[in-house]
Amino acid sequence: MSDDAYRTCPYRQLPQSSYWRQSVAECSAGDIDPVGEMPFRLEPTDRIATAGSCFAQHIARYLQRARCNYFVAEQPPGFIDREVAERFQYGTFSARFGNIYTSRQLLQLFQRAYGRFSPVAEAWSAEGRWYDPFRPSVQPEGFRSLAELEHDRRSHLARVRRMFEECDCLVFTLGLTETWRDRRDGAVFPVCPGCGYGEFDPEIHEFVNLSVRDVEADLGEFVASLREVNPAVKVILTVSPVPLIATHGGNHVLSATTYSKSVLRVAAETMSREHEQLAYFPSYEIITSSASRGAYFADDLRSVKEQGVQHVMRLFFHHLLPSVSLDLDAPSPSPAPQTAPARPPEPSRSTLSAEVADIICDEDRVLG
Amino acid sequence: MSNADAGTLALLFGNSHANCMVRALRHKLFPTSADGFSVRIVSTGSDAFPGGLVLVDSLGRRVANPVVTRAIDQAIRESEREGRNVWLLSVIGGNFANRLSLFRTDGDIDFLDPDEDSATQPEVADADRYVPYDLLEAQLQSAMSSLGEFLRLLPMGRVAGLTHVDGPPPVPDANFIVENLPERTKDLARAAGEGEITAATISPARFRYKVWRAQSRVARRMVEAAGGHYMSAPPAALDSEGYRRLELCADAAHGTTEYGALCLEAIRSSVTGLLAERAHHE
Repeated sequence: MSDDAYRTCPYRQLPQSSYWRQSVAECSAGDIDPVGEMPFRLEPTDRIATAGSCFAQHIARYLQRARCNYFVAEQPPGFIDREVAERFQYGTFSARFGNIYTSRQLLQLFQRAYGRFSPVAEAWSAEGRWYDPFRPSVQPEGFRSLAELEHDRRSHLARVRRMFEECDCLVFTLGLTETWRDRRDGAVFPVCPGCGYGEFDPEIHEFVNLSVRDVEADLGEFVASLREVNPAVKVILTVSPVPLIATHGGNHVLSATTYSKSVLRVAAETMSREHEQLAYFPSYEIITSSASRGAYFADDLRSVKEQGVQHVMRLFFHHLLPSVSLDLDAPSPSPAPQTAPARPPEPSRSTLSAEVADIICDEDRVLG
Repeated sequence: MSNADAGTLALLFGNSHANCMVRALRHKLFPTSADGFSVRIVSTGSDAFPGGLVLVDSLGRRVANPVVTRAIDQAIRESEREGRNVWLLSVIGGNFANRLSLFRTDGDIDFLDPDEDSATQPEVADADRYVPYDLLEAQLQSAMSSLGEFLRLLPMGRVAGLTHVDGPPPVPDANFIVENLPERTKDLARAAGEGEITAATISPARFRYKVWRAQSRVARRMVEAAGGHYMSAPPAALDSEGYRRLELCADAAHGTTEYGALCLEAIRSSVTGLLAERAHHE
């Protein structure tokens, strides 16, 4: 067949990134860049908020390291040392809401913050301590009383509102489709009740595996609600590459992971096509691509190695924050700087490893 | 190890809150009593423990500052000759609550005191931000960790006992605080970027009181973990709401000489009582 036979072939003028051989097979794993054209760029001064599954903590960590304007709306009092504040999950995300694994959880956080939803499940108690069912791990030993939990929750939700209203960009990392729901009002929890926190009651709690339609509807409603209070906000969706630690859906956990990530990936794509100022960033592809031959996963084939996180974040900065130079050796500065903090001291690789080990995953509670 | 009949020598060491006791001793407001209870000043003031409370010796071991342990050794040698008890009297720290709560920081914050019913703390609902009590305690625990370690490193088996006296409760009057700030506190406030210090700069009295109570709980746990006895301000020094009586305030943080004498009297009463009780059980 002569070249002439391809003269009108629509693939002929496509960029190199459209071809597997040139952009994947013949690339070294670290050079692969699956990020397409982003609908916007961010400025170093933009207030960037983060929420999502455990993988989202890496994004928060690197934003701080790069001295971006990582927006933490819920700060500890100024007299609390950083190490102490971190134990109570200040700065882990933009407010003290802990891991948000599902689209439903994100939507309900917004609804709770604005008084549009008041779940029946108000508190879980154990051994004289009180836990917020929607962020049970943020208070290491639980709250001392129900009154304290309620005061803290009120204060927390006020900060969540501030985060939604004042951020210039929200980065949300979708983690799971499987969740546990309260049959009485549809409230979903970040952890299965009875797995570390709360008591499981089959009369009250039911397993749910969200569909593409569910996730798209949740995200659509969330983005619409968010733009009611913050019309100019940019949204970046990512999908966590971290596989499920366990499934309750009856399939093999590998199949369940594939389903879950596929649903999230499709929903994120749909959102990015249908909404202005909303981008999908392919963290999932960068880590899980066959080109990396699994090298970005740790020995448990689940945790993401720092090397993989660096690849993701290098591309994140390259495509979304090109004016920021990412110093991969710099340690994270104090949580939540509202303005650029002083340059942190010289870092070490062991610091990076320690930070990876510090990622908080409520999902791990399933294994006890 | 006690010999209640032969009297007791209390070794006084601590920081700025010990100064009122030192003055009371020097002004003879606290003479050695008939029961033979006397106080020896070991090291007090802001530079009482050169190098810190806990040091590392040549073998790499963490040890209590030798300023104190050498004084203990000497007092024990003397007491063996004289047949007296040696009692340790720590007035270390006591300002952690002031550091955390004296000045308002980034809006009004508040928390529920766990020893009070939430219904009696309506002010908490008005605060800009809620601070979980455990977070506050964790911060105090961290800030006070060297005190706890120091007390645990003292040679408790060789002395009759240890009493740790906490810093006094706060002063309710914000104007008094502004007009009577210790120089060191002013320096710290300036270094922290505080502008002009006015009554509005000072945290609400109730908040300061609750932080002081949190400090007291942490200090008590540390002292008791070291086998010592915790002592707070003498009841005679308090007003009806538990704040320090204004006439006993030398400045915004510290007690007067009379306050020091009240503390020493309370210490003597407590120590002689403890020793008598111990002798009774022996």
